[in-house]
Amino acid sequence: MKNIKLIVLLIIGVTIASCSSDYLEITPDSGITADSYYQTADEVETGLISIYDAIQGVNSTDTDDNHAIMYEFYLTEMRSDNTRTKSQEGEAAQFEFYTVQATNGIVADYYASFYSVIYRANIVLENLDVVDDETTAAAFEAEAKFLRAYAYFNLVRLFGDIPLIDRVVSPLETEVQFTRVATSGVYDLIVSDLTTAVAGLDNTYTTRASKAAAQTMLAKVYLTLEEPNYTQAQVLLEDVMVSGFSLMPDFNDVFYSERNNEIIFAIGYENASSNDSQNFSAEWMNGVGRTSGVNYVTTDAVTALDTYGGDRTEYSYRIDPSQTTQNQVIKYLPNGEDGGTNGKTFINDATLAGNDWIVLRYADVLLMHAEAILAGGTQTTNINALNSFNEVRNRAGLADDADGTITKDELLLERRVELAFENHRFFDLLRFGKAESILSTFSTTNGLEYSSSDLLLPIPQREINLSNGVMKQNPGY
Amino acid sequence: MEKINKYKSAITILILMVMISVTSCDSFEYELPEANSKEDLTPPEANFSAAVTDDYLTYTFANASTSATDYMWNYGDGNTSTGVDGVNTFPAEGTYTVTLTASDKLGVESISSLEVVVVEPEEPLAIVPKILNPSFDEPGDDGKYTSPWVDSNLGKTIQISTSSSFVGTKAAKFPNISDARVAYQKDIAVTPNTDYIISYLYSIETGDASSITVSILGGTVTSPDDIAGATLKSHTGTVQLGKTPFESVDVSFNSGSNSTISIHIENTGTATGYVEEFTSSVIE
Repeated sequence: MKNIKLIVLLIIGVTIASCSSDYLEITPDSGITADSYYQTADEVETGLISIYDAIQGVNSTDTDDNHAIMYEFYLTEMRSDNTRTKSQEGEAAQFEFYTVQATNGIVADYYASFYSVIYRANIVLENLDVVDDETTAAAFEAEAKFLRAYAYFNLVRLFGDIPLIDRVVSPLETEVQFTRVATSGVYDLIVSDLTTAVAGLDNTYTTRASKAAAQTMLAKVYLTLEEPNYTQAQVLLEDVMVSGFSLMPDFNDVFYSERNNEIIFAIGYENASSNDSQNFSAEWMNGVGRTSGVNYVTTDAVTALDTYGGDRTEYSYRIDPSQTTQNQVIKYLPNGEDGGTNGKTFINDATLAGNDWIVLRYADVLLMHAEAILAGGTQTTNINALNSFNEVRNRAGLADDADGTITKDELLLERRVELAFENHRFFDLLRFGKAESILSTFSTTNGLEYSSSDLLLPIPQREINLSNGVMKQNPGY
Repeated sequence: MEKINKYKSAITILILMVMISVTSCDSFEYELPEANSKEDLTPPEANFSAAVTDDYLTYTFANASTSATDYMWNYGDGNTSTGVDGVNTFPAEGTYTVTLTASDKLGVESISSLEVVVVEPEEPLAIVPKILNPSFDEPGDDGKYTSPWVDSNLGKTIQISTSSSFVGTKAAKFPNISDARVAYQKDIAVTPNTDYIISYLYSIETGDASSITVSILGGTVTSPDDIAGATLKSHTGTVQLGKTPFESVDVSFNSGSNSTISIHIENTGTATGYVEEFTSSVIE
């Protein structure tokens, strides 16, 4: 009996000793959790790649999916004087009429998509401590911060004051999720993230973050700030200009020879892959995608391109072969196919298109270089500005600037015809301080309902509702 | 007959009812009943911002009011308007108080005003580079005439000649290349993207072929290796007529993206050279 007591005591002793916290908080071995997944540098890199997945968006027609950059043209080009829907009705037409409702699903889609990008970037930043190699860790940090800054830069220009999430937050932390931070505070994070990105990246990739991409984006941020930093922007752009990029001799090749020497940063897509293809190319055609046709070219943009586009005009838009009163964008024809005689017969599935979406390209750099030298003035005769400006014009088959003086209006126009339908126009109008005058005239001419409060989109009503009164709507909605 | 009477009475009742409702309408239209009425939790709040256009006299006003339906703009110069957004061309420079009155259909008003200072923008003047101790005649805080032309990272300190000078009594002296003496002045403020001329005088003693190189550098450098990359413009003078006949040089350059420049001077030969009297100006 004595022995049995001893044995029992021993067993109890052993059991107590083995009860460490690991024993109580077991990691499930039949599944992966966010807390347990990130253990090695390779796993953190998969987290990085998933940020690009969030920017790509889900190629579906389901309104519950995040479509991210595939829907960006609705919020930018279609809200400028460049494009509209073909049918001019429905939720998508709210943009061109300047009657966007707080309940607009496309706005909510984009908002959720880019906060998803931010969330995924924060996940990577939170798990950098498992990366042992310091150089790799610094590169990962730079890449995640570039993408986070990119998301915030888009959101802050579209929505104004927005919640600033710079770490992984739990569902219960509602205050930080719904407190709108002033744009200046958002820009502080953007500048700091991009500065880190410039220091930690190199120019290996075009469909992933690169140093040149970070420099170009930071330059654009400097030009956009309420108090622009023109000199810093110029220094960054001049650095990009000696980094080996060049204009494609043929304008059409910019869009149809992918990842070419003019591309600084693009979101990659793969043809026929349901996971990695895009559907905006199909949506821009006549009834090929889910819609009957969106991002159709306005008469205003047709006139500008016909008059000032040079060689770019024929590669930018065409008369819709199925509906000859309408004009289509042809910079992103699905997989490069023209759709046959009716413009909508494609060999490959057009809704699973593989065209990359170009975010930054070298022509943008050159025109921003001229903009940085103009430095907010009304005109410049500076030779460096003229060289950059004329390089873009010459590629389009146009002569040098006639009088050797670049005015602000000339620069804005050149950007319009060079970068038409690439989601630059709306932001350019804002940055040049021309949105109010140009859009109100455009609105009056076409019987639209523009007012200055339309320069900011509404915070999605869903967010306002979830915030329990914490979040206030933008004026005018 | 009875049927018709019934109709008549029905019509009379109807007319009566209509009359009652018409008269009673007046009585409660502006007086909501106490019970079940709700306080207006979202009264109008007026707010707006002003932005100048290309014409400095014309401003656009962006309405940022909430919960309002009607607007009254008073631009403070006698002009008014009632649209959502405002635009006004002021008669002349001055300070104007622009007032927006936003109201809703309950007649609740909110007022917001903003002072707009209308001034014609001045053409920003380019900075004229200020070169310190330009003729080597002004001693620095340390009492030395070489100040502030010294940088030990780039080369040995120059000498000061008292026997050869064009203005004042002194000039910079560069014995020869083996001595590796360098004059370097940094942090000279300039306006970016502006054309400038920097002028100076030099002379070289007769003897073996020799030259004085003056380089205008963008920003600052910390090592001799960086000089070539930072050079905006340089001039190598080879006129070798002795101590005193000074040769005048104009170096014109564009400041590019730099907000400061530096001047770097060295002797690239074996005969002694002298440098004097720096001046700078903006090319209009």
